[in-house]
Amino acid sequence: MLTLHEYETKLLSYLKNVKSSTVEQVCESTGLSQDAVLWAIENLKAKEEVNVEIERGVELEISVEALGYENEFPEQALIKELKDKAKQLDGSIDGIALSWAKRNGWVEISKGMISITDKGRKALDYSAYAQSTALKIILSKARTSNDRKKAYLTDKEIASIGPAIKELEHRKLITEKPRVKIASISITPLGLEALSRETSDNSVGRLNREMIKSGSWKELRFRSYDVKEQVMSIYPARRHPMKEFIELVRRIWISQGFIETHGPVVESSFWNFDALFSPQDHPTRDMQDTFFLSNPEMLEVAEKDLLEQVAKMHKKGWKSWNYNTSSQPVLRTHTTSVSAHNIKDYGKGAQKYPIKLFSIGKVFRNESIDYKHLAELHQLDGIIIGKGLGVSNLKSTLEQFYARLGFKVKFKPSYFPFVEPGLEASYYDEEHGDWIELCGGGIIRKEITKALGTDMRVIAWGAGLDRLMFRYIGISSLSEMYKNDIGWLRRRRPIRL
Amino acid sequence: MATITFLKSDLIKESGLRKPEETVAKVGMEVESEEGNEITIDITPNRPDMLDIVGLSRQLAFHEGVRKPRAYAVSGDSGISVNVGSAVKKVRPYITAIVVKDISFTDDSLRYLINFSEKIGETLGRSRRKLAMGIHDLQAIKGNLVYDASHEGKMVTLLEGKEMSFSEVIANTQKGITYKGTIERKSEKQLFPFLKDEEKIISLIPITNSASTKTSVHTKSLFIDITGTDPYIVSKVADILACRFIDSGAKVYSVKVLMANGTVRSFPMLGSESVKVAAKGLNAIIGYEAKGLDIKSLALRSGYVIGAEKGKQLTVNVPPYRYDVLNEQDVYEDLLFAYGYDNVESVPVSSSNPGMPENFSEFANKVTETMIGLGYTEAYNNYLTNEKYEFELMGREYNRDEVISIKYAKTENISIMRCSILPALMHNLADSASEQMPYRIFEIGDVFKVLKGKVMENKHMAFVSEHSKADFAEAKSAVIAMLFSIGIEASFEQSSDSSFITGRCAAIVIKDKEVGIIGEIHPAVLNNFGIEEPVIGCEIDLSGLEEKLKH
Repeated sequence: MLTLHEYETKLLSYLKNVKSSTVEQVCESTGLSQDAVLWAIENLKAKEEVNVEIERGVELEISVEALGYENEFPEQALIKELKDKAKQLDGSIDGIALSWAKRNGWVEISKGMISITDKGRKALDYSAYAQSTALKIILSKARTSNDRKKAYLTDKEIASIGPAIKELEHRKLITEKPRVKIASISITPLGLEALSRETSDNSVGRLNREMIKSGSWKELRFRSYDVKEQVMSIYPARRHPMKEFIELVRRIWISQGFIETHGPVVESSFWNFDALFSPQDHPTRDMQDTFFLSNPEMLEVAEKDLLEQVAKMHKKGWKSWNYNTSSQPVLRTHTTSVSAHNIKDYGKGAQKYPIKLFSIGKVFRNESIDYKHLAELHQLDGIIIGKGLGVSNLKSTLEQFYARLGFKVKFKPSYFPFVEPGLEASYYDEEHGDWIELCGGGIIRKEITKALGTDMRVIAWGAGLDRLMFRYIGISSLSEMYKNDIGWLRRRRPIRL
Repeated sequence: MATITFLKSDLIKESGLRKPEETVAKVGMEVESEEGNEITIDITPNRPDMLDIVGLSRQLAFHEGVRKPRAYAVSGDSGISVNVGSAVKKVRPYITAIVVKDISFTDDSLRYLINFSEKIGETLGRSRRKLAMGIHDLQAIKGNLVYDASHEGKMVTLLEGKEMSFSEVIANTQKGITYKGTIERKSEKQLFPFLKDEEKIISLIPITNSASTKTSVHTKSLFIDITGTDPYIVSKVADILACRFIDSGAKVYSVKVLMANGTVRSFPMLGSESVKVAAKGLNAIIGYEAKGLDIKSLALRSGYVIGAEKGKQLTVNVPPYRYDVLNEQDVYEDLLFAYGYDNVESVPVSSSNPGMPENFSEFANKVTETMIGLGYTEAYNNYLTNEKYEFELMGREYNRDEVISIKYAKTENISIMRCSILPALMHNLADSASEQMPYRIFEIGDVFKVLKGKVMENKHMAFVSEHSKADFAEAKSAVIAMLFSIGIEASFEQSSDSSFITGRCAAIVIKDKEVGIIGEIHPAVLNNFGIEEPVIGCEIDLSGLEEKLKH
């Protein structure tokens, strides 16, 4: 024998005393939530312990425009205007009003004049207009529902105003969705039996404090539960998937002996570009690609020595450098700016070398946002500062990291203005049948390390995290990720490596 | 990056390789797509010489060892000179030029040359501002040339074939509109740089050529001008062009440029720097002593002409078409590419420093743990937002001076950086599809402010809870529980904030300092968002609190 759940017992006890009931009435009388009641009904129906009457109908969603038509449709306003005299057909006449008045045969147009017809005169009695009548019914229904922009009508109620509903839908005043609703629920003989068993049977449903304390449980028989029975869905609070993924990545680096660092999101062009040897006239330093700021308009670069060193590097390498360009603030376009700070901060002094550093953070691109493009992305940057480091060390570091994420990587030559030599790591994607780029890196140019005050060698790399992340969580639209829809956050796929 | 498209059959012919696409990645470029006989390749900005089919093929052939690098020289002087006037100095001071003879074009090879000229103007030339080139039929040029600038002039344009004044070209033609920015000067009268021969204007630089010197597939000899604002690049592009024509079997003749100050220079210069390299230097960037490095063969496969060999040291000559090789480091990069990353062993870096998390990250994780324990799901919103979302809907005042504003955004609805997290969470509640209540979400993240011209980046935590019974007490309980779990005690003082119901809003005070706010969200704000159930909210500045946790 199976025992009843608390919700089932409550529902059946209530139904025992009434002939039949609606879901709303049950909620009100038992104090159960609607979700709980619907769940209980679903279970009891399967056991034939309740009888459920279904009612078919439609749910109508009402547009804002329709709310304004309750007292008068534009075509009605038009014929009212034409009641006494014809009017010139010009731009002053509302297009919607005109097209429906014509369609209804209320007006006629001749020689550029618009006038009312006999049929139109009859329509001056507003109550004779089917669309108007239908809308009134819908709006009055909506007023009794929880949401004043939604109305539920049964098929029966719809039948009499069907054609008008189609017209309202055609002009997009309402949208229609079929809906099945529980009209009434009543208890069956099987249900009564189950309930009495629950209350009289000496076999026990729910174990309670009394039974445990007194030891009366020794005399009782515990009824078996149907373990296959459906249970209610509950949702634990969870981390946001992007944060969860970042957490995973930072743990990998920390476990490999790296020190985690953070840097400013709002940067001077000096740190974002100049310190990394990006020429001041480089196309990425255009407003089309990078977010520049109107407040504040300037960001000072404090250390004068550093400024001079970097200016010298630019004048030698690119033949030009300008202080104002350097002090323009930007939203950082890469976290390599944090690596530049790190070279300056950790490149000299009492550190033990080699020293390994990484940073993960948001970066910004001036993009037109759509399902494929975001203006805010995530990047990871790492460096190792030390003597005698080379590309063999870089290869190993990246191989180890990506192996932890399940990738076997391959390296090829590439070019970035701040490294020499440069490389790119990619993996073979079975699905696309192609090599996909994961990461760029290289040895930081001597000019840069010198300007930033170290005589050590620095190997560096940078990688976008978003595309990688989407691979693990399996979503197709990037924008979904930051909508924070509660249902999506609750039910999103776990991150699988 | 710039992409170039060729017929694959032409690339095969030009490079002498059966599968040139397999070598592209090995020289640092990337095949972007292959469709039928067409191949599109991404070229990195340090190698403008490879934007051309001749230059690219050359590098591919060297890498596979099927071609040996050569020295380049002109066949003689063309007898043509360019006199530079004094007015052009203000707008576009530098010009170089070359003459090419004995060319045999096909439709495709002419198209490749024109595409190359366009691409180099776009990339290295920064949309023709820094550099542009013009290709003319030498037969149509009469006598010597003058490069100067004037306030007005007349020409028959290449594309329209109509006589127009310079001002009309700028105002009415496609090229004029696109490139007029390259010669416009702030608050000064317009000066148009031009090139003319003894009879006519042959080019309005860098906008358009004249129709009179138009080239076709039948053209046998060319005059090419390169103009710009950077003397090194202008000279290098003359070298790049000269080398590509010599490699393709034509003859190149030099052109004299007479500067206004009397100096005379002849282009192309075709100079070749020599650089000394040794296996030791390559080993240094590899990071260990690689066995059996054959520096000589690597240099040849990178395109360097071999000079003197002295002990372990080798002198290599940098080809004139390379504009990016300035010192031995640049050469070693090429040698490494020729050696191949696949041949470099992976060597782990051992360090005695332990890995270490950043202080705030760890602290934020602690807070996150507690909030999740309290039933709050983590949200993660964008930092970029706009005044309406951030202030208006929240019933808050917008103080322009304190907010980071964006100069220009391609996407509508982006104008400022957020200065608080609550508005985003309110949006999340409003935008969520119908779900089981309660809705409880929180976020930890950066917020931004401008104070006396300085940018303040602070770390905040905010949470909201929406359901029919949400009230002040719930918010307060949650804050106390969260702070308790990180070892902090707070007091609550009556406060006010236009986003909250008056009298149901409190400041969170830690050691006499207000660090945050909690309360019941004002129904006017709920209406603004279209939220239909009560909402409580909290926002707290976590900056500095991690220090308290440590003690």
